[in-house]
Parts: sequence; C-alpha cells; structure tokens
Amino acid sequence: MGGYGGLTLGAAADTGSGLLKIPRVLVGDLVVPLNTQLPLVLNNQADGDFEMWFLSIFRTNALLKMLWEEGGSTRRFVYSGAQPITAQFNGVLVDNLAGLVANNGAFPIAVPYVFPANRNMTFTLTDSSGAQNTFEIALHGYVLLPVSTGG
Amino acid sequence: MPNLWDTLFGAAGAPPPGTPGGPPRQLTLPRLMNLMVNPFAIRGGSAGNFQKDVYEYGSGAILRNGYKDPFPIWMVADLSLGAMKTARGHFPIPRNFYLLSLFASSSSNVKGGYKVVAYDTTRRMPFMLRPGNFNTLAGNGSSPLFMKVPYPIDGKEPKIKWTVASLESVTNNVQFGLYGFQVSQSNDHRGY
Repeated sequence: MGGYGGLTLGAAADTGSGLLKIPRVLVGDLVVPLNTQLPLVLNNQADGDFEMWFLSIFRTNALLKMLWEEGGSTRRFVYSGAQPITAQFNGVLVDNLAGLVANNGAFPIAVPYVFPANRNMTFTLTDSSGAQNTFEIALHGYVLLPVSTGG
Repeated sequence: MPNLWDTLFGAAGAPPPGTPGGPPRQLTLPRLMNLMVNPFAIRGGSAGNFQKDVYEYGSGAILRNGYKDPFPIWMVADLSLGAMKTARGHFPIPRNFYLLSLFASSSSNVKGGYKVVAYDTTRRMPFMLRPGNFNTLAGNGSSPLFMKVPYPIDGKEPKIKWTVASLESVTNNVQFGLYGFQVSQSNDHRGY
C-alpha cells in the first residue's frame, strides 16, 4: 500500500519508490455562458502521473454546478445522493467543492489521488446564474517522475 | 504507556479502525460524535489554516498508506424545496466507502436555511440525535469539518438516509452531501 511515497526535489535519492515529486498545478479555465452546460477537459501531461492533494476553484457567480469524471476509467467523482432521483442532476455547487487559496479555502482531499499520465478529466459545468460565469479549477499536487536508481 | 488521547483516537501512524492492531471501529453514536475533531487542525496546530495543516500532517502520509487505492467521492443531495417543505431520500453508498466530512449549502438563509438529520441504515444509528441547522453540522468546500478517523459505512446495501426540512418561506435550493473515499478492498467490509 502507498506506493507513491517519493521525495520532493532536493531530497536525497529515494531508492525505495523510484519517484521524484515536483510540485505542479493543473489548471482548467472555462467561460460558461448564461444558463448553459459546457464540458471542460483537462489533460494530465505525459511526463508522469499526477498526485492530487488540493482543489481550488474560482468562479464569478456561485450558481454554478459541476460534474467530474475521470477519462479512461470513466469513474465519477461526483454523483447524486438524492435517491430517488426526481430532477436532472447537474452536480455539486462549486462552492461546496472548494474555494480560493487566497482565502484559505483550498480543499484538502485528504486521500491523495493519483491520475495516470495522459489521463483526461472531464468537468461538466452548468450555470444557473443568468449571467456569463468565468470559472477556473486548479488541481494542486505533484508530478511523480520516475528516477533511475541504477549505478 | 499510551496517553488518553492515543487510547481514544489512536496514535499517529496507527492502522485504520477495524484493522488488526488498529483501534476498534466506531459502532456507537457517542464514539462517532467524539470523533468529530479536525485532525489537521489538531495535529498541525493552527486551527484556522487547513491548507498548512494538511501538509504538516500529510508528511506522515495520513490516509494514503492506511487504505488501498483511495478514490475521492462527493455524493450530493441536490434539492429545490418549496416554502417550509420537507424532503426525504438516501445516499446509495458504494462498497468500501469511508466518510470523511459533510457539506451543506442553502440558497436562502433568512430563517436558518434548513435542518437536516442523517441515519446510518446498517448500524441503525442516527448521525444527529435531533435535526441540526445545516451550518452547525457542515460547511462548504472552504470550511470543511473532517472527522478524526474515517468512518466506514458498510453492509450489503449500505445507505445513509436523510431528511431535510426547509425553514424558509421562499423556495430554497439546498445541497447536502457526503465527502469520503472508496477503497478497492478493506477489512471493514469482509464477507460481502
């Protein structure tokens, strides 16, 4: 268990895990027109897996809901807990997910989640504010770079 | 000799509840209530800064090393309630799910927003002894209250039933939800 130990840059060589952790933020931006649903696809880079620790979200209006699905596995991070379902489910209000780093509002997901390299994440955003909504999500964490431990 | 804190909550790095060598699973409401302490604030020592604390605490790989492939999940009851209306439903809990925190929001909060109770059907125990105001029970993504120990919700078809009662005299758009994680396998879900 916990095969993603690794060490941050500047630390001694981590021969145990063979991973070097470098801080990285994956950022996705989208302008959602009023009362519209739009997808936002964020792609993890090919150079390494991404270990996510924090979510941070900016929006211009709080009336914005989000669904989140991982490509490849098509696993959903957000799903409806209102059973029986009586209305269309557009996801969680983004303010219930996370806030701004500047306001000490980044959400610690507490269970660092590792996205494989090249993996897509799809966010589906639905505005109900009646005005254009500017949205940004930042996934804070580390890229896990394999390091050679051979002599 | 372990101190009282470690006896109750387990020392840092201890196995998760229900696993060999770890503390017992939370089976009773008083235990659960007493665990409603933010571990990051306690261990990190700065109650107002989750961002900092999770890193300090995270240096010990808080949950990652204790659970197999945890996958974060947000489960949301998204409701539009008429004036003074009540709604009931349940969260269909996936297998091997551990609860970490609740979140709640209300579009109108003139008269208190709404009250809510939740009930663990497997253990037949309520999470709240009586309905609580949404803002006293949970915050939003900027103000989470984490449980000290992840709470396993198990059983053959585990559910958390909820009842939400709006206190507002206008239509109220309500979200009430669980945040937790699913693991690929767990000793807390043996035999199902």
